[in-house]
Amino acid sequence: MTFLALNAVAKTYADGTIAVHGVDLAVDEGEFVVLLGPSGCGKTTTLRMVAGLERATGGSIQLAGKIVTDLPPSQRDVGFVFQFYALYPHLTVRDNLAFPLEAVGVPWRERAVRVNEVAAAVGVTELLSALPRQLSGGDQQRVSLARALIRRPRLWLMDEPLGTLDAAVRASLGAFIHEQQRRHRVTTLFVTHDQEEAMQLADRVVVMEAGRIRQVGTPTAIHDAPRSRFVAHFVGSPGMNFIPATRTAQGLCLADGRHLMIHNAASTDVLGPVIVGVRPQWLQVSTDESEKVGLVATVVLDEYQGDHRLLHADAEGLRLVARIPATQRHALGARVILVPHAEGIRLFDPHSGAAL
Amino acid sequence: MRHRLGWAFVIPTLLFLIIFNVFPLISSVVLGFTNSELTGGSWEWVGGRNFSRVFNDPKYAAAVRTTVLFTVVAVAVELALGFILALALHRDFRGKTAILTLLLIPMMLPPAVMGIYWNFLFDGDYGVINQVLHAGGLLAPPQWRTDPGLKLLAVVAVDVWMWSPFMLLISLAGLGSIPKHLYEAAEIDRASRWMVFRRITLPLCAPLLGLAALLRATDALKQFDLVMAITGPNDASTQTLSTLLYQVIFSNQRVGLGAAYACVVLVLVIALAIGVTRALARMRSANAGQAV
Repeated sequence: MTFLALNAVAKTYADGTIAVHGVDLAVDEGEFVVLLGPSGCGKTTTLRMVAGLERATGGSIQLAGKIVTDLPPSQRDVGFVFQFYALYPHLTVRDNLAFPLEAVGVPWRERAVRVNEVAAAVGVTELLSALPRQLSGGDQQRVSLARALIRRPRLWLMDEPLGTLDAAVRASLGAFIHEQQRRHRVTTLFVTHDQEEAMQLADRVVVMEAGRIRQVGTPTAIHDAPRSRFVAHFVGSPGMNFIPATRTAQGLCLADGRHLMIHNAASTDVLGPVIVGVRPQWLQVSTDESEKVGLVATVVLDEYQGDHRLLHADAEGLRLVARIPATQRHALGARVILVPHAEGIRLFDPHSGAAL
Repeated sequence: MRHRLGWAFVIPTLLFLIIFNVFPLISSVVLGFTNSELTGGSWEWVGGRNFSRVFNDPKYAAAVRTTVLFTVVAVAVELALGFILALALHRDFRGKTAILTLLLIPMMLPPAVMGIYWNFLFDGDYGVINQVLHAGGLLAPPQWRTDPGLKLLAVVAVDVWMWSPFMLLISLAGLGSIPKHLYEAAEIDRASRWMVFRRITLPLCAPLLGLAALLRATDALKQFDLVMAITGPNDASTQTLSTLLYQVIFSNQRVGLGAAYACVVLVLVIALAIGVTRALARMRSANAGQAV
């Protein structure tokens, strides 16, 4: 059942800058949806419009069956977690947590009970008397989460809550958010520019670029079936490789006459120039010169990653990355042949960038 | 070697301090135990007689009362007015810079000139204020400069006019330093406007406002020029400690007695200065690490 619906929601700032072009999105109750995109893509603006911190200049927002487009944040029943925590610096953790309860007139006896409850749930009980500045970044964000949780809102909004934390805290807090969200079944809209974070947390990922939604889907769908070059490149670490080629009746033909793949084109296929997309893990690196299929390239960089290597190779100005076993070594400057696995090949239109 | 070089840098300042601060301080304390006169001539040690006179002098007690009353009322009104104006001006609108510049002019002008200027406005018969009150239907407008109950009020009014803009400026700085996302968080938390003001705006501005009030208070305790210009130094209803000192030393030419008065004032001011320093230190520790 749709809980949150965005209908052609747009934002144009007073100076004429268009931040969001008209976004349509339906979020089910209890769903964890991640807005993913590079900075400036409009994801935070979209989130802030849902919160009511930013006024939509077009379209409508429906929350729990009610149009809330022009309502202030206080009438939307949302909890918001800010990137920079936004804890009240002069109040103790206890008073920070009690603030939303005090604001809606919960009697102090019940306030105390609920503060203790939520503090225990997020693991900040022993920090209740501390001031925010005495806490580490991770703990501050825990308190901020607890504050967003305490009034038991029906929608959680999170604006890059892990963005400023270091890697270890990031991972544990990310898992914690995930767990809390699953336990409370709170509908959640989460903004990030980190695609790994998006993959790890989301039920569905919304990829945005330049104020528009480019693709909505499960993490697997976004990763395996990107609908455009932008999504294909933005998602995955590193992103997808792109190789210009020509589709002929015999297969995918490269500029130097070699083939990237040999197969018989289906009768419905349009023949002509295409962009071939291959993820690094679908590229095999071969040193066998007799290899008929594949791209000839020179090794330029070998990045050791622990359980694998990322091999960067140059094919006449085209930079490609292959993910290979950690045990496989190639000298810098060596000639190699990059052979794509048929299963991993995606085709894109060379002009529009749309998936074919 | 390094130590000697260090001293070379410190000595000029040290000499300056000794000549212009320490020496006059000691000499004025010493003077307080003599019956020196302004015209010079012979003098004698009189022991603690000057000091016992100070504490038994009703004019001294009255001057302390007047000074404290003036300080408390003027600073409180300036603080309140400045903060309220700051709340009104703390947003962007056309002509904001022009308005702020205009408001700051009184602060830049010499108080003696301001006092004389306001005398014209306050004048009982042809002053603008009373002309307006008269035109407004008030048949017997208040005599600002002669009514003993109103004279101090007139001095306070001019001081408020001069110094409220200072409080406004400090308040604006305080309001501007509160991060915008705290207000957004409060909005999400459903706080009413009154709660936001009471629980966020006011407490976060308070340290700065307190500091400004203390600074203004140390200045107001020395009130001299406005009183001199508006009523003269020897008016029972407006005589402050500074004008009393002036009266004793320059009009009555009793330097020894005046020095004793000054010593007692000094003790009061030092007490307040310690208060300011402590408040400053507390504020600094309270604000440490509050940058985010």
